[in-house]
Order: sequence, then structure tokens, then C-alpha cells
Amino acid sequence: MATDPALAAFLALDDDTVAAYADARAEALGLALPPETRAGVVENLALLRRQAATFMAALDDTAPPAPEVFEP
Amino acid sequence: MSAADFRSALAVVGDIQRGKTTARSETEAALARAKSDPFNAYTAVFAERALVQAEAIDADLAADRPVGPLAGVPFAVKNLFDVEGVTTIAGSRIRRDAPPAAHDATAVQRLTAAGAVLIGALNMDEFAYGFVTENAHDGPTRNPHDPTRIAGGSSGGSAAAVGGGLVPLALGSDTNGSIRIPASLCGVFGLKPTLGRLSRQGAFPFVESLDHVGPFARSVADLALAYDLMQGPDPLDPLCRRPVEPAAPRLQAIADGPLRVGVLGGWFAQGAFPEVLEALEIVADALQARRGVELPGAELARAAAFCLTPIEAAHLHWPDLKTRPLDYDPAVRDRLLAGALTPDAVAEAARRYRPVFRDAVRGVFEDFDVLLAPASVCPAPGIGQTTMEMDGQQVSVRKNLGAYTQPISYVGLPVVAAPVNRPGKPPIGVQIIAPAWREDLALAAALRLERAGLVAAHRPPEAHA
Repeated sequence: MATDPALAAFLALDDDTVAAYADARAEALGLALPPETRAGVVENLALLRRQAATFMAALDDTAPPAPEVFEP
Repeated sequence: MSAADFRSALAVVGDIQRGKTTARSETEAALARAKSDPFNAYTAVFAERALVQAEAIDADLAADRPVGPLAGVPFAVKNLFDVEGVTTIAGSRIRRDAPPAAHDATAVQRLTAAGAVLIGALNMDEFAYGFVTENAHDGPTRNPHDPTRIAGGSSGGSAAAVGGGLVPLALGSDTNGSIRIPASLCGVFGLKPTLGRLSRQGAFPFVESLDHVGPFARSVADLALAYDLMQGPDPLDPLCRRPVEPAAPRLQAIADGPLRVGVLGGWFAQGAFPEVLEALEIVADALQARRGVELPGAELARAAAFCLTPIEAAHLHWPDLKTRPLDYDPAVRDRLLAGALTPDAVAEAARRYRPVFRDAVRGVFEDFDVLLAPASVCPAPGIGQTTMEMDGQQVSVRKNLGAYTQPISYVGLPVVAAPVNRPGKPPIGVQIIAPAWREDLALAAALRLERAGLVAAHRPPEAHA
């Protein structure tokens, strides 16, 4: 379960609410979404949310993030 | 076009050293092929530089001065590599007005120092984001085996140039599969080394924690030689600190010895086209591989890499995404914008999952020297084809061709993409995956298969070459 509020809000979206999230987030970031990009952006954002939910389920979100050490 | 040439790089070296031909003659022939390129592989040709270098090599040979192990071998590079005096466009419109590079990328420097002659720069997906090389600005690169099909990407120009007989050697980059996918679809060998093995200095970045550079070639020996010549620490790339560990001299002995080989199942078998699994079986039989090896968490690793990619890339592109988003290739732009809108906490989580998966992979490699998996889900899709079927569902070609490559690059493992020898059929490659820093194991397994005639660079039909 995500404890970071921004992450929790993102993971709680569904495909019907992603578009409104995209508009609000773009406005908060000062990022203009040209009309011809919006449908593609929303589709990709929905896919990212689904993929994030896939691997987030396997993580212990209570552990604090640590800087990643390079190690292949 | 000028006659395609399918000699290996080492054969070209031998012909020059025996006096059958000259570096200049080989260079002129490669330049002629570049100019009549039927695959739209090239985006720039460096005739003057190439001829100057070729003449210097011929002068050295005439004077019995030592020359490098690739003396006179033509090569070309994905257009994200810096070439001195040339603007590094990285497949984009946005960078066309950028100043020219002051120096060659380290990988280009090292191959040039070994005598290889740079012929030109090659097409790619914009900013290396994609698996198709259907570039909105430079057009699609065509598959040498069927010009109606894609070459794969994002290093599609590199794979098509080697597979189509334009040059025997090329450089590409691989963030999520961008060497392995086009090598597989174009029927050539490709090597994605361990993350940190080869310097990325002078290669336009995409995703810092996933970017690799590596060679394409028509034989395992060429691949190993080019790889060896590019090794070594580079103070300009903080990840590249490893001393040179030449692979080529060890390959015969390793190939002749026992190899413990597994075939990845689970995620790596889901959705693959039947002919992809048939090709994998040919290789697995020859290597007496154990089937159905599970790599725990592979699907999650793929999902983590999938999320990490646009979020990290969007940070790099933030200024241009804010000010000129419509100058991007639409297929890339929408993914980068979506990454920009995704909370950074998703990327942080994707990084936190990496050691979890890395430990799982290490556990599997306790029982195996190399692991096999398909390189791509299917043979080359058609140009303009947007969807394909996986497990009965229509899915995006661009987003799913790398389903089997992404988990592996996520943890930076070395992989040889080897073209399975299926005469008369569309090229299909397999991934030969080794533990970190053991490129020699993957190359040796490929060599054993090559000696048995089971993997080989494909010569395209005359009608297409």
C-alpha cells in the first residue's frame, strides 16, 4: 500500500478518472498539453498507472527510499 | 543499389592485409552503398572523413607501419553517437539546430583507433524511444528481408545496415531492447553488454540507469572483436570503470567446455508467436537446455522498467516538453508527456524494486551459465502496423515488442541476440543472457551455435538487397 500521498492518489485512479488527473497535474506543473496530444497522453498515463500498480504490489512502501548504488 | 557485401569484418581485414583490396577501395564501395541505401538506414554520410582515414591506413600498410585490428573495415553508428563536427540529432527534429559535436563519442574513438572507418550515421526511433524505427522526421527504416516490414528499433538503421550488406559493423544503443529487437528482426548478431562495461560518453542519453551501447555484426567473432576493442575505463563515464577483460581469446575454450543452459519460461513464453518458440527450441535443443526455468518477478521487472523509462526521460526533456512539444515525433511525445505527469514516486519505487529482482536473477544463475529467451514477441511487423495479437489480445506494437527484453536490461545483464538459422523464413533471434560481467559466456554459447550452423546472419533475398 502506497503511503506517499501523490503515489497513492495516482494508483487510486481508474481509466475514467485519468483524463481529469492529467489536466490537473499538467496545470499544477505549468505544462501545457496541446489538444492534439491529450488523447495520447491520457492513454499512456492510464497504461503507466496500470504498470505501476503491477510492481508496486510487490514492494514494501513503508521502507524509506535510499539512493540507488550502481550495481549491474 | 551498389552490390551488397556480406563479408565479415575480419574477412575485410584479411582481404586488405593480403593486398586483395585497399582500405580506400573498401571505403569507396561502402560510401556507394550508403548513397544508394534502399532501406533508409542512413541519415548522414561522412565521405570526406572516411576517405581521409582510409588513405592514411593504406599509407601505413604501404610503409609497413602497424595498423589496428579493424584496419579498413567500414562501420556506421546510430545517429545518437557524437561524431566530431556533426550535429548529434538522436533521431529528432529538436536537435537539428544543436551545435556540432566537439569530439567523437568514446565508442567511436575506440573503433576508429582500431582502424575501422566511419561511413555515416544511422536512423533510429526519436530519442531512442521505440522498437520500430518508424521515425516521423526521417521516415521508416525498411527491413532488408522484406521492405514492407520494420527493421525494429530503436537501433533499426544499425541492424538494417549490417543485415542489408551496407557495412559489416555498426553501433547502437539499448535501453529496453533497442539492440536486441532490431538484431532479431533483421537477422544479425547484436551485443548488449553489462551496464557500465562500455562507455556511454558521447551517446545522447535516454534513461540514465538503463542506457547501454553495443555492436551489431554478422558473426560472433566480429561481435566479440568490436566489443573487446571498445572496452576499458573511461573517466568521462562514471559507470565505466571496469578494466579490459578481452572475451575473444577465451571463446573457443568456453564454447568447447560444458555450459549449463536454461530456457526461461513464465513471462518469457507468454504471448510469443509459435514460430518464435519454434526458433527458441532449435537453440535450446542444441545446447541441451533445461526448459521452463522461472525468473521470479520478471513481469514486475518489465513493469518497473516500463514506468521508469518515460519518467526519467521526461526529466531530461522537460525544457523542450514545456516549450515545443509539437516538435517531437507524436509517438514519442505523448509517452514523454505522460511520464512528465506521473509522480516521481513511481520512478523511486521502480528503482527500489531493482535490487529485489537482481537478487532473484542471481539466485537463478547459481544453477546456470546462460539463460535463453526470445528476443522479440514476433517476427518483424509491417511498417505502419500499430497493433499485434498477444495471448488473444490486440496490443500496441511499439509498447510490446520489448516485453522479453525489458526485464533483462532493467538489471543490466549482458545479452547476445543471435539470429536463428531458418533459411527462407523471416529472421527471429534469441537472447543468450549471462550473469553480470560475463559477456564471454553469452558470446561462447553463440559461437557454439554458430559453429553448428544453428545461428547465422541472414542474407536477404537478392530482390531486396
